Amino acid sequence: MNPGFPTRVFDDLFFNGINRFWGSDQCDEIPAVNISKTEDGYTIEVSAPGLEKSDFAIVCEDGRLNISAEKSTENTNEGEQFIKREFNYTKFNRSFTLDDTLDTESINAAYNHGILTIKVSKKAEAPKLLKQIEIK
Amino acid sequence: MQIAIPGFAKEEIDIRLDGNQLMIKGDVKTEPVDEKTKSISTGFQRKSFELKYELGDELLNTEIKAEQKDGILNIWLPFNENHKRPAQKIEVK
Repeated sequence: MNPGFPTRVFDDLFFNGINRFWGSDQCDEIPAVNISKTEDGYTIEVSAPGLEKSDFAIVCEDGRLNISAEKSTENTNEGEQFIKREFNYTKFNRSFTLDDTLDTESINAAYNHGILTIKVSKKAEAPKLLKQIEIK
Repeated sequence: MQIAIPGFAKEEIDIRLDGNQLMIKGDVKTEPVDEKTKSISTGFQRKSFELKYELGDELLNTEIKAEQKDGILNIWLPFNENHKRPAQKIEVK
């Protein structure tokens, strides 16, 4: 990690790419995300319509934030056939690296209108001590 | 029929049936830009959209229902049982 590059705080794990390459019957999608930097930290928005709050698992471990979801309820009606299927948000997994300036204890998440919004705040800065040095 | 519309509120969606044409419109009003927020990565955006479908006769004169839940717009288009085309024998000349 290059400390001189301030915007590179988040990294994606490539295992998601490998999963797609080998193919999967479950049609795992990698959801689109929006990442923005605010005064207090970062906001990640995950586009995941059709899920319920309980379908998500957000875990923060060793500086990595892992967001996964799996739809627990099967909604297929008998006699229902898909004529066209362009999306299938039933299962996904995405990871991000959080750097030291972020407070992993106070991550907050909300799910509204199909968008999961996660807010990570920056750690409170310790007051800088100004020390006057005397010249002898 | 299911349309994924994450981030849209019910009030921003307009569904109309005009004759044979089903029109679904999503209107996004421009949101005030927060100057203190800087976007790092944009994977998706809320944009106004319009979808039009030509409905076959078997879908007319029935009750079309729509419901929005968690970013998915569900539309039920029941078949009109009375509008079955009678079986036809087509002669080959």
